[in-house]
Amino acid sequence: MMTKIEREDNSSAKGLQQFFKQLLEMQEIDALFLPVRLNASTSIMPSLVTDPAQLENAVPLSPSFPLNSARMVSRLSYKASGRKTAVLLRPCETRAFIELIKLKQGSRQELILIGMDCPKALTSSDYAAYAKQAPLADDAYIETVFSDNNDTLNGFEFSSACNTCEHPFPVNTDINILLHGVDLSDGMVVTAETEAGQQVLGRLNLPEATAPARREERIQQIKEGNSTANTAMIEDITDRTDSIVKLNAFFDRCINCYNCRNMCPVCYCKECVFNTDVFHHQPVQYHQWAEKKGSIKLPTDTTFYHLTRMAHMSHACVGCGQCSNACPSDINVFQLFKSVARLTQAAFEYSPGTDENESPPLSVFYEREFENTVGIAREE
Amino acid sequence: MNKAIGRTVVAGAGLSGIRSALDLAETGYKVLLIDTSDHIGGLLCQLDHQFPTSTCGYCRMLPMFDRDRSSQHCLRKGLVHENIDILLSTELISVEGEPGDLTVTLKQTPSLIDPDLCTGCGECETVCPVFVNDAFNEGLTKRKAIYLPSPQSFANAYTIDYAACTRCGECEKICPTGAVKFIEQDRETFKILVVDDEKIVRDSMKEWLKEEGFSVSTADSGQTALDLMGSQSFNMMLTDIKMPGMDGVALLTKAKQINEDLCVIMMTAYAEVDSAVGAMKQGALDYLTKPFDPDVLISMVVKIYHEFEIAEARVEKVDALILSGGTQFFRPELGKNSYGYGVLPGVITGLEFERLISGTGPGLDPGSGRLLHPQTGKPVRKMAWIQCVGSRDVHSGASFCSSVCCMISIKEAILAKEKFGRDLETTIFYMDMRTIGKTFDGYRLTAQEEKGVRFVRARIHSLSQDSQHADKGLHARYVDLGGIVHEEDFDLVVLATGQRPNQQMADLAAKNSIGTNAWGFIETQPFSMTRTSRAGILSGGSLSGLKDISESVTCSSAAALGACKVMHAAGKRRRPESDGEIPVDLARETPRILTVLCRCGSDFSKKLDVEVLEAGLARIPEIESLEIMDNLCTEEGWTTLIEMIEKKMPNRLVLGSCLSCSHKQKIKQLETSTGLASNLIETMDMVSVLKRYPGSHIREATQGIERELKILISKSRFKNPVPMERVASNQAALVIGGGIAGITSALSIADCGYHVDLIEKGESIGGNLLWMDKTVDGLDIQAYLDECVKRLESHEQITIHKQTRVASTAQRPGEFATVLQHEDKGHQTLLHGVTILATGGNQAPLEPAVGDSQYNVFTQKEFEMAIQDQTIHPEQLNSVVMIQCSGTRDERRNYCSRICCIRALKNALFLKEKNSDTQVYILYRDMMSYGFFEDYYTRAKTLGVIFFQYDLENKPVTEFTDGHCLVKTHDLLLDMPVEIEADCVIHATGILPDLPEALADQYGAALDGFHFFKEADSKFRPVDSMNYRVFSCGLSLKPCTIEEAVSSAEAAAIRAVRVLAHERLVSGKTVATTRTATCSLCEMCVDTCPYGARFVDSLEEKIVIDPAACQGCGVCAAVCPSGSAVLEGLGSQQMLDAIDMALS
Repeated sequence: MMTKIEREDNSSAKGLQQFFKQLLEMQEIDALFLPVRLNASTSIMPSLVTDPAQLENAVPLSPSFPLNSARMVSRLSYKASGRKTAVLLRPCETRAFIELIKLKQGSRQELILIGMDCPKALTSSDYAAYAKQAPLADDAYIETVFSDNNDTLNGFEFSSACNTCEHPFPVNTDINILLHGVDLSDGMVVTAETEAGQQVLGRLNLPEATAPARREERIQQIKEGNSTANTAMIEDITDRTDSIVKLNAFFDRCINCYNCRNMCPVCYCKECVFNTDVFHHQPVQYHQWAEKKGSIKLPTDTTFYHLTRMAHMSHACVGCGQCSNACPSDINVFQLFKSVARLTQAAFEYSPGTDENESPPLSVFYEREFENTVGIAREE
Repeated sequence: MNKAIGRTVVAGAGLSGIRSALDLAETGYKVLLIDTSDHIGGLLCQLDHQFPTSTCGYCRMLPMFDRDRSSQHCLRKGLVHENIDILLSTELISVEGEPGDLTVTLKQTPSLIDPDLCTGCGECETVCPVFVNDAFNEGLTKRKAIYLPSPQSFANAYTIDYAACTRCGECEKICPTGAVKFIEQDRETFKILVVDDEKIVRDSMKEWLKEEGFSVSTADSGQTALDLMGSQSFNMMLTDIKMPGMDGVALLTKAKQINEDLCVIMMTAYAEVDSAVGAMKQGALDYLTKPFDPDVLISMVVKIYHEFEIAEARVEKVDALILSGGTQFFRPELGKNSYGYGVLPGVITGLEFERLISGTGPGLDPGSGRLLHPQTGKPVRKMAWIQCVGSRDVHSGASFCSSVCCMISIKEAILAKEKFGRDLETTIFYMDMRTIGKTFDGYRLTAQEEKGVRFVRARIHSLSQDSQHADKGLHARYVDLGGIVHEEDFDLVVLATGQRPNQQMADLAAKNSIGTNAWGFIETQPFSMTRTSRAGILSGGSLSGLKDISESVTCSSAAALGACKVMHAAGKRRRPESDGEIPVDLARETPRILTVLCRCGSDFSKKLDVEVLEAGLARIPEIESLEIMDNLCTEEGWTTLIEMIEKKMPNRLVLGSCLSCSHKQKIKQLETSTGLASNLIETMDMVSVLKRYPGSHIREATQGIERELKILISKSRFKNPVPMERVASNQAALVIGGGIAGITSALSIADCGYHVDLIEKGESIGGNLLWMDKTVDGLDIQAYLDECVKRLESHEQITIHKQTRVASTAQRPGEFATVLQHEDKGHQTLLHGVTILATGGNQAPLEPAVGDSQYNVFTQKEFEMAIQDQTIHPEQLNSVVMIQCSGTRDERRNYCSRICCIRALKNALFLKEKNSDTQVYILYRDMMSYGFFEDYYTRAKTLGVIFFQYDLENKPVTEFTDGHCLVKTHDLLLDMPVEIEADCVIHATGILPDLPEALADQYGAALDGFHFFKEADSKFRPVDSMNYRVFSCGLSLKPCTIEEAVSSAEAAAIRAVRVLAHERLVSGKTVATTRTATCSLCEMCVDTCPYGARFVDSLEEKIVIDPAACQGCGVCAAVCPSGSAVLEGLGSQQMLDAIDMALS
């Protein structure tokens, strides 16, 4: 099903607001989860909205991406609430949420997942500067970011996670809002991807739309461009981190604040092992290490912490970039993670967030996998 | 009420004996496990590799719950279980009495070496002057008269080969611990009578034997001998066979009448071996072939002297007896020996080949790793296997098939390819490839297509060698299917030798009225693979005919079930479970680790700098002290250690010594005498650590020991004795399926005293047996089924639910809750502790393409039913064609259904019996008439049944014209098309299992690639699933005959009874727990746990664990990112600390 979200007062932003308002007014939908501009502030934060009147502050498409909402949606859905919620997510947020569903941290049973072509994002520090200087109006932003020429924003570079993203289009959703390759002056296109989506969309009685003519072409262009950028980035970061010495140097500003972990959407543990006593050593141990080497840096487990996180989560990394975004020491954790994730995901032929039925690699065992690694391969 | 604890003797401690013993021991009964050899483990000790994995999985038979009652290491190294007593070098002599009250007489040959003192240092071996063929290596290498029984054995105690030992006493002198003690022997009282008509023979034998200290008399004829026996008594008689007047065989008969216990050895010329073998059937013990070497004579006499005179008899009162002696192999050299075994270099048996390529065998070139010719020492390039040597061969007295040799040879050929490269050419010469298991056909295909093993259907008549050109190897000549003669040379030829009855067991059977079959194997009762002709005496494993590992294990479990039923019926008790005292919590005590090293006399002191070691360990605060000893293995040393522990009161011990002081039994002893919990004692095998530094500087060896010690110390300091957890366990069973497997398993469990609910989806009980008339052996199936159903319906411990299915099930620790759905009566919830999936299977339907409803085209089942309801009259049939493997053993269903060939033979014999003029044709690919079924194949051929072989490329087709079926096939032997007009065509369509995946999945079981039940291990745990409370049997497990279904059902039953017998199940010492506070409930651990030990408790919102199911493998801990899945006693801190210690 392919329908049209018409502009309101020549404004796409208002058109979208109207669309969400209609949704929330439906009897079947009890709440909406989407980015909302907080009162008297430039901050746009994910919010749970139940009053249609309050949707006038909703900003579905903006360069603000302060956190990956997957974990918030997990909080809303890990148990039944008796409410139906429509949830608007960026593609990387959806993928992270799908991973959380696999880990029993969320459920889509009471959700309508709404996806969208990714409106890209600035890093949080860049967004603060941009918002202070001369932010584009919401409509102008939409026009810009979904135009053919969207590499920079008023002189600001988009986040490197966005520039190297290979999946900036929605998957695994019930309803999709299409913006790339769409003639926005004629409204936006909205599609139903599942039966649940179809039921909701069907009731809105929106005018029918035709498939945007230039969409496929744009998707190809964006994918190719981002893919090239990704390869270059990975080459560069690999070159800077491919030995333990270089790796230690890469993390030499790290203060073990664990912000990267806290903001990682797939780091789902209730209590991280690094918050527990598992790696607490006896005082004498530190002395013994120091005595052996002459000196040791404290905390001792900085690189170990990052390696552990890669071991635990790199197979599920969706590349949203929030780890770098959260780093107070300005370490580009994301780039390293993505370069490692590419290898682990290739090793398990695993693509996080794309298929809800694909089990996490560590929870499945095949008799004939990694025969060389586990030493059962036979020479002939 | 103070009833005795049930006790069973298991005679034979190989694979099958161990299986029976463990099943009974786990149930809680006592077992006396005996073996005539000097080590346990049997044939499998000599084999390193089993198909299809090319590895060994012997240890998978070890207990899964309460596993700290038993050793948890390789079964080739030995077995320790609290409920099992083991007697080696012990023979079963006789058995008397009734089930529940048997008296068995055993004879044990005492060892001259005290196993508690022997440290396995090997000094004795160095000084022993005697070299003999090493039987463990099948004679491929030599060993001394004092030797290690098996290279893997953990006790490492030496033993003496009495037959070879010259009693020179050198070993006694050199032994540093005084373990060797020759006892004074009074050989003069052992009286030997030599009977021979040739004076020179008599005199020289007398001289040789007198020199050994025996009393010897001679007689020149049978009559003289009998006269002598009238006046004095003899222990042994050696008699010639061919003598004027009374011959040796006649003398034997008469002598035995005078003295039943007389040991008689026949002496015979090479040409008369047959009569010597005949004499053995009449009671002779052995025979010698003239001319013989004095050494051969003496070793035989000394061996018998030891077995009969030195051996100590003991009498045991037990409830049941399981015979598990296994089979012997055919010895080609004793027959016509057309392959020149023992004569031509490079002709070896399969077992010899397995030794040759074993890790502990002699065959590999250490440099290149290539396979060397055992005689010439040159690399082997071309190998052949010859099948059916001493099987399917009436001339060698074996009209049977040995069932397992085909798969063994395929495995050996694959091993040869894997180990020595694809360039090694391997060819298997066979008659029929009997791939009779569900995965065997696939394995054969792998061998052929992936591994490059060549299969040639041909019988090599004989082998020869050009003595001038020995380098050309062995010359074979064979005729292929098309009649063309081929000649080919091979470097190495492996003979797949067939089975023969176990002689010792056959003798025992003869003397104790236990029935044997026509070939001398123990015979079992109709529809049973374990019940012998004497109640209370059961046959396990291969004793009743060769079986592969899985069949053997199944049959041995079934035998254990038989014994269990006997003990239950006799009202015997099970051994009470240990209370499991709560150990002291050491978490708040500072670790005080006593570290003790034994330098083994002077031996290790040359390699160890104690001062350096002390300095290295000085910085570790937890070390109470480092003590160096030299004689821990002596009683004095052991007492010193105990006193040291009592004085210093350490709360942990690290012990470095040789294996003889640090194996599980010794540590248990230490626990008993000092109260220090055994899991607070860490041991280090000094010998194997020091072996890593051969000839190196004392400093490196000391550092190596220091590093190992530090790792153990770090492991030790985090240790806290964990109480073994217990889980309340439901003691009722659910059996799903009312076919013969379900009926048998229900009856078996109920007969052991536990309640069973049996559910059947249909209206009647009986499954496939309902439509069957007779077995190929002529047994009445309906009568058997009636008897079973009657017992089932009247059994007070059994509730039958017909027209009922499983609606759903949930599992929690110790219990299932299954919701049953009756067709009319609705739902009912059952709580039960175990589940047996006996959902059965069906004959596959006829493929539409091959049939035509107007003509007599049937499946085997349809044909038999048509006969029964008389729509077909066998007397009126002129021509019947049977097509085997119809729609099976091809890419769609690539497995052999095992029973169709036998069924075809049964029907063919039936037709011939009804009308000998009926032409019966069987179109087949490989006739799978395994085991003693081979006889029916032979009989069918004799009666004129015509066999045409076809291959996959040319499957038979049937055309229908003018009221006749015309079957067209391409016969391989004639290499031409054949057309047969038939009144009736019968297709063997094979078996389809009927086990729904959803049902199996609910119980934590899985299906294999063909939708049969997937075994936890196809060889060593053949009826278990990975969930230790779920089992399968009958057709849902694999294609099988009725008696095989019964056997697997009994096996499943004892595996279930093992669990049901315990109100509370005890876990192992290392089990996983969950830190609920940090657990995110992602359930990764639940999905990953291979044993189904973890469950989500959705009410309490936490992960719960069945500690008895948990095997402590640690996968949950590995997969949990938050460290919430914890392995008690093996935590992360401990691991990190050990790494630090190793690097420090």
